[in-house]
Amino acid sequence: MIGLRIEADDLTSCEQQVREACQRLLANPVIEDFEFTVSESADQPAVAK
Amino acid sequence: MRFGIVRFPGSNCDFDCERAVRDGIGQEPVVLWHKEESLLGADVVLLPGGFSYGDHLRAGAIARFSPIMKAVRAFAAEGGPVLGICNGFQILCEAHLLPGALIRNRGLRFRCHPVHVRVESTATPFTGEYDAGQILRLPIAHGEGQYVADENTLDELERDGRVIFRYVNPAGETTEEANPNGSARSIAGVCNAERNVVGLMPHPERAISAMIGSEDGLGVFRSAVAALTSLQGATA
Repeated sequence: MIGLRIEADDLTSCEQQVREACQRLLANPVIEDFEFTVSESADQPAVAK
Repeated sequence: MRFGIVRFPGSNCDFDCERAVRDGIGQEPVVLWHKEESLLGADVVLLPGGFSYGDHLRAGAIARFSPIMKAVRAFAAEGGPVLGICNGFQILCEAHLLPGALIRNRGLRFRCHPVHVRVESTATPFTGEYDAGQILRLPIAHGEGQYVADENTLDELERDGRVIFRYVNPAGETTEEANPNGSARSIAGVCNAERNVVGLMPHPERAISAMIGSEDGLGVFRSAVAALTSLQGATA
């Protein structure tokens, strides 16, 4: 599992960044699938796992 | 003829490639640091073996983003000959310049020993000087060399003659025992649809002299010279 701290204006933008990171680098779509969840806290930027 | 040899942080077969080009076939090697954005006039590009970026994440996953890969991609798109050896093969797959992927060896062990491969196609810039069906003795040294792709891709590679090297026994037969890493259909090397980008796991650059066990790898480099000479003759 990989945890990322993402700064984004909104949830959609955050999910877009995470999806792109997974598709381009974090996973190799030829051999791997991926899924992620995004959570947000008041004192921290959104955290994607 | 100028052979560009890309040096990534963690490459370790770049010196062997230099020696193969300079001493093996009497051509000019030029080392290309991965931060370069130009191929410095290279006629052929070699991505050598090693452990680029320490194999972090996956072998070849980070090297594909090195600045020089943009130039390599453009060079390949124009039909320039590109050869990826071992980690170079992994990088080309991660960069989607070649199909499939290379995963942990069946049996999980790092395998470092000579193997036999059969030349399946001479229709690439790196195999033209061999005979189809010729058996080569080349060393391997890898932990992630198991070639995988989905069945449709494998069928397409077979149908289009894009399986370039296959692991075999000394008699030239594909067997489970002769397949050192569990590669699908005993595949040791493939090429792209245009046939100018080739990747293989064995090390031809370490097999350039009988004194060190084999000179069967020389044909890979000689083939590139012959292919380019022929191309230049045709366009002159």
